[in-house]
Amino acid sequence: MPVQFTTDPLPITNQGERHVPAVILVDISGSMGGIPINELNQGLIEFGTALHEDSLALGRAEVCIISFNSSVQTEMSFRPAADYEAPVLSASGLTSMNEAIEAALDAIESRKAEYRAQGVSYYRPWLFLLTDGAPTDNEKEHSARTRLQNAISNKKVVYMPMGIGEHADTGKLQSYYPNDAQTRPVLKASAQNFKEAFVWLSQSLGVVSQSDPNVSDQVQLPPTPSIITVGI
Amino acid sequence: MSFERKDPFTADYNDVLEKHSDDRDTEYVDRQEDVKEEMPAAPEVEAPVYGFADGISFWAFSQRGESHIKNGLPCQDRCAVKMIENTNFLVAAIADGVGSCALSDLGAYIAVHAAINYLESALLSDQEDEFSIPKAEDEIIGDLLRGVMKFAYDEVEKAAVEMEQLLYSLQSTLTVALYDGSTLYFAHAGDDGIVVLREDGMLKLASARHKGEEASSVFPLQSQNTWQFGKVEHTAAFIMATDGVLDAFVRNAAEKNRIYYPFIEPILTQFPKTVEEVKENCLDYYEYMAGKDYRYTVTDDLTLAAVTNQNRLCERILPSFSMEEWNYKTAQYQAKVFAALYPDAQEQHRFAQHRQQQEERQKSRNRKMQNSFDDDFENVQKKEKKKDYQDYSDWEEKNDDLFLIILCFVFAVAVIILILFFFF
Repeated sequence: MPVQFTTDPLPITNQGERHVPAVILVDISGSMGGIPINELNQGLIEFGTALHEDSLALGRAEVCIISFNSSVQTEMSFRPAADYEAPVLSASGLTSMNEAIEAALDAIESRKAEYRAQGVSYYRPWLFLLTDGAPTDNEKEHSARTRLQNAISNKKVVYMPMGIGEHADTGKLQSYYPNDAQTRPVLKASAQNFKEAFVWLSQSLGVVSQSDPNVSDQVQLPPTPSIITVGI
Repeated sequence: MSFERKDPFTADYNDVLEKHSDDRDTEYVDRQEDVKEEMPAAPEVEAPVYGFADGISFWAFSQRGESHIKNGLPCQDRCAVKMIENTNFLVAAIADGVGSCALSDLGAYIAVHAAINYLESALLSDQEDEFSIPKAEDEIIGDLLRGVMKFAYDEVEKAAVEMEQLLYSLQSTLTVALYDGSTLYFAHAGDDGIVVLREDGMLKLASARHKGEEASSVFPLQSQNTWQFGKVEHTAAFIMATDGVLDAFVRNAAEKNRIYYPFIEPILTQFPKTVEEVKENCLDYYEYMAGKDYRYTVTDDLTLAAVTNQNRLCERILPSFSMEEWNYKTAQYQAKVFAALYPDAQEQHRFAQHRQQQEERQKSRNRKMQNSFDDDFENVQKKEKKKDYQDYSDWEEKNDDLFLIILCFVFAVAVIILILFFFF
């Protein structure tokens, strides 16, 4: 005989309870002009479309977009994926990537503090970094690298760098991993064709949103599209 | 005193799980065999345990969760409950292996059984003096509880050393209860919990959830500085659950650990008089939690243990529950969180719409999941049919094209013949 419940034995789940914060850090320096910036803008639009196709990611993912050239700008502060609006970016200036990394880490820390204050549970935040060159703000490199390495070592952030075009310094992107990291993947794609990377990113956030954190803190991400190679 | 302990799994119980697990179990067994070559595995999850003695009914079980089945992981939950004969004490323990630790199922198994064995031998050896009811003293019990946690910790560590594995690999939570029919004492490490119903009708989560910053993190038995010890007097019933089950019916601390009473209502309102009735209640829950409806929502391993003292439990003390009030408080909390996280006025304006959309998406997702869960085979069939249909449509289109080409060709030949006829 089935158990006799007088009403629904499970309350309605609130899918927004667990948040998946993700910072997308994009290079809009002068070298991104032309096709790459168009690809980037298109990629950001497709990212939003892909998010809307995944109901759980839509309820749980929170996205923040920070761009960097000679300075660092928050294009979109953390907001629910459901309210995501792709910014339109234009390319100019230098590559203040280190300053941007620090800004992203600040944004993540501040968001986590807000979660804690509200008693909101969250998955490990993501930091997706896209660039086509090497940083020009070398004076801030040591500080940014140390902070990011510590954050990765202490499992405070998932770092996901992506170099686009042949001038991307993937070795430099890899150097932001801690030295003892078992794997140090860097995604690579052509500067003419990388917008699919954002669809993959959205799908990956969807997979994390659906994962059960009580089972494991690791998830199997979807395979990267053919236009992206993974260097380790 | 009547006392019954269930024998190992009967075919009936296995059927319940097998019906649900389908062919995924086969994959699990194969993968486990591969693992066994390299590392020791914990014994299979025990059968549900139930009993009825001196008006105290008790039962407990663990089940392998959907995520574990899907990922080929063993059940990392363990539980045990036992009435110590010749004493008036009931002991219970539950543990949940830490997901990211390779041997946490074994760690949970060792922790639970070490705790029960330690308490049993301590209670039996000292029953003549300190532990006899009503002489149980807080100080003695306190030492006993600290002793049980330390013993469980040491036993897990010893196993790790013997197997030349890191202690980290065997990490698990552990919650231990000791009940004399009125006072509940407990020792606790991790994010599992004990929900207690007192004789004055107060229903509350007695233990704290020792979670880390992220959703996946927990302070297990091995985090000694987080161990919690507690005592609840005038306890009429208590329910122990590992985090998957607990989180589904007890909201988080920010929501003041509100308890969704309908989930545990049948435990408290059955009023069993025989061990058969206790068994029935246990198996009803076992079957319900092995079913699809429950597992759509809770995908982690499942452990539930229930103890009720029928001499102290009565209609008068049962909690009242209002679904309207529950929903109102839920909405209120969500609004508060939304306001704090998205202070922008525009965002505020969108809140109602956002929530409505979220609920609709959830309903649609549930429907999708239900369909895919129920009709995997049927869907494949449908896809095949659709493919056949598409192929047929293509074929028809191709045939239409071919017909036109032939028609044109015949027309062209006819024109050429006419021209030739006029010339010659």
